[in-house]
Amino acid sequence: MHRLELRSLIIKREGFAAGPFNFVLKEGDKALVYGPNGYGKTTLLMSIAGILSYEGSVLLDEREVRSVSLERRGITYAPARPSLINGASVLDNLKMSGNEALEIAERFNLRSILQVKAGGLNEGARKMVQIAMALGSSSVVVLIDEPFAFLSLQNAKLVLDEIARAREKMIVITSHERLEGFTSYIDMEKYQIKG
Amino acid sequence: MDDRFFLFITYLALLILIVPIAVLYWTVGAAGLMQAFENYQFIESVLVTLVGALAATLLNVAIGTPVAYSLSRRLVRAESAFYDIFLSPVSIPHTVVGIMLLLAFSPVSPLYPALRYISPVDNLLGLSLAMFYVSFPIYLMSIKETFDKSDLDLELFIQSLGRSRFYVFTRVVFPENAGSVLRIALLSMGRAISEFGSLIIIAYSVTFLPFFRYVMPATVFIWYNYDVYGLSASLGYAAGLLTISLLISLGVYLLSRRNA
Repeated sequence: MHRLELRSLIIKREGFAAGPFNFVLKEGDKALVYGPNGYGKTTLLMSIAGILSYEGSVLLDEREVRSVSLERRGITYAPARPSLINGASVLDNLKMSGNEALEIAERFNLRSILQVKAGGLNEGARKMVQIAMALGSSSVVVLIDEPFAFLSLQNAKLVLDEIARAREKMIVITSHERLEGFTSYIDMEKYQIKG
Repeated sequence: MDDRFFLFITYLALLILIVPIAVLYWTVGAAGLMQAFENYQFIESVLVTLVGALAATLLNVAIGTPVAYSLSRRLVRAESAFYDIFLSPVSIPHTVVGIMLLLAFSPVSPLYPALRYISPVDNLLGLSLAMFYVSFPIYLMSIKETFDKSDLDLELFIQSLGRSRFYVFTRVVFPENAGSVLRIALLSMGRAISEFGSLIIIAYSVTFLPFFRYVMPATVFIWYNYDVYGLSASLGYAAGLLTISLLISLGVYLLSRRNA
């Protein structure tokens, strides 16, 4: 059973700090980080991924994430901007992740655009491909920044269904508002460090 | 003064650049240009220059691209110090570069035990090495600028999917920036072709059998004709090499437009 623990985590970025965060996620848990713009949702996700430095600890299976190289951490971080390899087809992008990403793409109704170059897609389609790649990865922790940005209600529902389906992963997503159906909630407004 | 000052200074700079080119072509004329390209010695000198410049450019791409990436992503400590060192050939006089390279292969060099059986003098190795040395900073500077602007979020995302940085570099960063790499490679090739100072020291007359026997690189060939036979003898060759350089500049421009 995998376990992600934030222990007295304080995140910092240019004149901004938030924390201390103390919480534990187990396999199958889904956490929602919510709050207004500028309250550190992205910074928290990037800190959990070990991309940004932090104070305190982020432990995956009792191991500090920053002690392991990014590709071996078992933590996938999908940024808010739907970054894809523009010169490669959707199929080739999905293959960067693995076979499960292809199955998810199928459920996301992306079959008709598999041969299209990612650079030619609109932001909504790019976001769907990126989420399929993130959820289809072999990582045990998946962090998705603003998964519903650029998406229609119908596609947002597909994404929520897919998140619920991922029972072997710990998933943390960000949103401007509180949504129902998550096992843990982090309200960023409560963690702001003044001064 | 308003905008007229800036317009004036811009047009003045353009004039300073264009007038010498126009005067050279005007003086030589189409017939003189054709005559230059009918001279076997000049053709040979252009060919040896292009071969050396191509080898230097391939070295730039093979070495400069990963170096620029590691500096851009700060994979080495004190990357700005490394960057300054890599750019230093820009301010070293090129005749000095020629002498430095010559010494690097001589018995006084610490590299001599490893390089004792290799001589860079008057061969393709010396020619390419000198061209590489002087064009490397231009390649590195431009390609690093490209990487500085490229999508870091994408790299982090792909790496976090479990792919190594090397994989990301070869399969994501390089292909996504291939157009820029080609444009900048062409730019550095243009710089390599125009090299003269270091070549008169290390590669004055290149032999690379069975293709080249005592062939002067084009810039040396032009200078030789000017020095020995006078200005009029070198004009056609100068216009010939200028044409090749301008064609490369045109290629860089077209690639820039395509990438924009």
